[in-house]
Amino acid sequence: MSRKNTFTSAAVLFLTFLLCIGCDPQLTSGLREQDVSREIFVINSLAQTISYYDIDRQQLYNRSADGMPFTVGTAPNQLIYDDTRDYLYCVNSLSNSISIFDQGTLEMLDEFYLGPSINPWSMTLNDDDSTYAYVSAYVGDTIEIIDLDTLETVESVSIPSDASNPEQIEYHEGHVYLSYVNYDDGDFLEGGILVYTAEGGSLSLLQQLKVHEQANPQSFFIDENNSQLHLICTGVNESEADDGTVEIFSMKDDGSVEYRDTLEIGGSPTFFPYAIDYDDSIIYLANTGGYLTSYSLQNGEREPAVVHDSSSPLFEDADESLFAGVAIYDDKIMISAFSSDELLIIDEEGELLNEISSGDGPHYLLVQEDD
Amino acid sequence: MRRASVLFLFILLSFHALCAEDVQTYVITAEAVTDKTEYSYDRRVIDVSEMNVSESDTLEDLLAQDAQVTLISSGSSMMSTTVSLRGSDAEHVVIFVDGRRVNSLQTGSYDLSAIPLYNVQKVEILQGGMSAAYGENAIGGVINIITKEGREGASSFSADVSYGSFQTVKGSAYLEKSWIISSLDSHPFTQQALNYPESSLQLSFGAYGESSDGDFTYTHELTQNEQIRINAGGYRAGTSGKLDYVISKSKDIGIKADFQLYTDEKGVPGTVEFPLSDSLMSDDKVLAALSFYAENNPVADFTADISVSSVNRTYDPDTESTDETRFDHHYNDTYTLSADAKRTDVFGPLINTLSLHTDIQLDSLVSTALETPSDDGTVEEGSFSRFHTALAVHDELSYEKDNLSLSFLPSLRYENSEITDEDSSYLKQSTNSAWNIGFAVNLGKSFSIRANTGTSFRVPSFDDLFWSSTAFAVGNPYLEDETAETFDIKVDAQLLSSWSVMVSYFSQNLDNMILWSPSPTGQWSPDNIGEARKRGVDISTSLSFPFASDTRSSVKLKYSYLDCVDMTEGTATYLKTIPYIPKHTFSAFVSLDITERVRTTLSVTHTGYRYLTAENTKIIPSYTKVDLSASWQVTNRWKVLAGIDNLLDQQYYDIQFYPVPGISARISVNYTRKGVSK
Repeated sequence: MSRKNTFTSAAVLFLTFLLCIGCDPQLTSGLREQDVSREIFVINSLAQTISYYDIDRQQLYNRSADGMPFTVGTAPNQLIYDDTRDYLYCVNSLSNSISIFDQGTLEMLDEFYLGPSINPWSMTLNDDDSTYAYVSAYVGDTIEIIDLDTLETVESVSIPSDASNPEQIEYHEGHVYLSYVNYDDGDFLEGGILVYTAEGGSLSLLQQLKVHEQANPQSFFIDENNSQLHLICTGVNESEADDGTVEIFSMKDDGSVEYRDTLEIGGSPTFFPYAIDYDDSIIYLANTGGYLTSYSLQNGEREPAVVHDSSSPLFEDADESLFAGVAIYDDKIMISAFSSDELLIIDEEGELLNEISSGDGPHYLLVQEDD
Repeated sequence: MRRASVLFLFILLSFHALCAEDVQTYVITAEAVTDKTEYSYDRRVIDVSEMNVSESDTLEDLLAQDAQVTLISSGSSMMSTTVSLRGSDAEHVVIFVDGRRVNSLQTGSYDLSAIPLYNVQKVEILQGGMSAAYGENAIGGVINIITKEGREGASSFSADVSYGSFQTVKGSAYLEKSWIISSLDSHPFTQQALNYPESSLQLSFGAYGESSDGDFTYTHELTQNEQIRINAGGYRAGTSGKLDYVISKSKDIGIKADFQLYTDEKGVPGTVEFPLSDSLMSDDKVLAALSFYAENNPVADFTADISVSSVNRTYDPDTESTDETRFDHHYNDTYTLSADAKRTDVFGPLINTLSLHTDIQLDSLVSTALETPSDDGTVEEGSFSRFHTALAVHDELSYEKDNLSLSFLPSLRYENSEITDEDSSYLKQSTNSAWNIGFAVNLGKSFSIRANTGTSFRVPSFDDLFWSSTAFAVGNPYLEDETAETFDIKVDAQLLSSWSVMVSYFSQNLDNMILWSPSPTGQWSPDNIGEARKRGVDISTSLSFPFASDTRSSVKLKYSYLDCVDMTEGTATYLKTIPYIPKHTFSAFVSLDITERVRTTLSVTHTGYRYLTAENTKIIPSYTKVDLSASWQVTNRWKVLAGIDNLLDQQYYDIQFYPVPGISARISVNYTRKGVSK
């Protein structure tokens, strides 16, 4: 072989080698093909993906049929279903964005960027006017009002200066409710609830209500049957903490709230830790210690009361250090075990029925059933 | 900018006044990098003078030309750059400057952009687990920086000024001077009559500074809009000096004194997206050291070293705030005493070299951002102390006959460290031992095989243990030490006089790996949850040739393959590739001496794709970076160097949300005056 041929062969081999090592794997966001009528969506925080559990097939899908993950942004916090558009929205706290999916195919339609240093925490839709969404911004200390038709920020509403670090936000009958934790250099100052009157793309502050220091009220839910708002306080943010409480407020006709009662349930309920069983009037709370507590809702003359506190949890996993989310379906309870990358299914008596391997860091659970 | 200009002017004027003597050219002689017994390790030495870098550049610029070193940049030149060897974490690479460990006890790593090259002679890169030789944290490898020393009879001065993109101004100056204090009438061994310098004094002194606006544009990943990364500028300045008093050259006895001063201030963009970008960080460092050596003793060569260093770090989270309590301060004082003894015995073809090392180190850290748990379950803000002792023994048993050389190199080290807080309510005791067995076979200078097997360990950093609880992070005071088992083998072959090839393979199993991971609320914390297996192959070849008459040009090609896998069973990340580590890295480095005075270098580095998440659901795309530089030795004293970095203007990042600048250019002018002292 001549020197020229040797050189040419070496060059071709070398270029082939470079092409081989230069090829990146094609990781696109996946599509699903089968119809699913009842499912539980799971946010895998560390994998930055979502999975879905087909309730009828009793099967969890972490990837599409062709092996592609259903990817979202960085540090996803929450999934919201938009029944007007049949969309799923995923709030990505670290990438300051909202991923938008077609709920049927899980095709990612868009990723809406909110702007730097926003740190979106949670999102709610205006059910009366499907145009608007409200997003709480943990670092930005604002409520971002989004026009969902144009995907533009209509307004950025600053919350009061003594009410920093907003977390959960919920729209309810013309009002927007917002919990804030007031974090200050390792401590939680007086957190509380803000109530806004919502009129289309604008908000006006109606009420600010504070709870005690170190309460760390991360989440809440509205009990429509009893016109109550239950503010779930994590307490100090540590895995072995045991100072979780639930502050119960009555909701007035004008949308404002009034303090009614405190449930000393203990533990350390996580962010978005609850599932509501309206049939049995029971609330389940996931805890950072790897166990599940519960309390009853008001039912007729019955007052809210703790059923299983941290000293006698309904279910505990000795190997698990962090339960991050909980959901209820068919008289079963699904728990996302964040550290062990599993979904645990238990019955209402606390008996473990199944353990399912999930994606990395399962957290938020959203039950979705077709009408 | 004005501050930097004044600094450089001061440096230049000072040094020119000091170096007024007109002297003749001094020829630099080769100097042994180190005479430790680590030659079974995968080791490369970069001679700074052979690279197309200016004296005002930093170690980051130098190592960017080496494919087997992975740099982890967090942005512009003022931002921190750390290093990874063989897919290691930055905390797994130990940086030594003249044999003294400089890794931050607080963070565990070291910022390479804070090490200027003006006084660096050589950089030695050792890859692999080597705690037996180098102590704690040497799981990925070691980078030894050997600084210049004043040489007997030498007198020289050099100064360097550089200007580049992002309004970056750098400058440095270096001076060496030597004095003969006493002489002998005849040579102590040959009795040859001459004026033999018996006692002498060598001084070297240098200073440098850098100022940069830093801000640069980048393309936002989601919107694809151009955005400006703000708050990426700052300044740094430093000075260092060495004094070597040779008491008796014939007995090789002397005393060395070192000092270093360093200060910087830089913006902390954090992640570009989050949190806010109004933060500043500043570091002030002082080091003073004294060494005694007696290296021609009949019993053993002996050296002892005592050093004191102080690091003061201040973090201002919000420069626009008027709250005087917003600052975080960290004060770390370190006192180290070390001693080394080495003895060589020759038994015919057998040569045995036994080395002993011991050191005692006392650290104190006072920090407003760290905390420990107390007996009552609350946390206390932090004042800590760490007492560390080490004892190590190396042996090198060699058989040499004709062209054949066989070496057997066992090493053993024992280390103990105790960390306590102010009221002794917290105690962490780490006792670790590490061993290594090395083999080396040399056939003349044309072929060698080196192999090692051994253990290493890493002790958690203070940030790992005590990071005070914030909304975004919290340390874990109950972390255990990481351990690793390593095997590697390396073959070097000189196929032709101008062509050499190197192939190496390594495998490493890590246990108790410390991983920082976020909780569902985004609060990051470390835990001993990981097991990992790392395997890799490095291949490199080097060809030198004359491009023009009386010149020597070279081509170096390097390829690294890394397979780093999470072995933590029962998780979603089991058998997945560890994020941020590229599987493939390739580099080509071409140096052409176009004339005797003009040299151009082209550096092409391809970094393969990396996974962004531990479950391998997202990737960071691969990128190819091309750097071009040229130097022109205008006269014997003046040299001009120009360079363009990232010629293809690649948009890439090593850490998510920390984009690296696109194309940039710089030019530097160097003045060097060499001679001999009278």
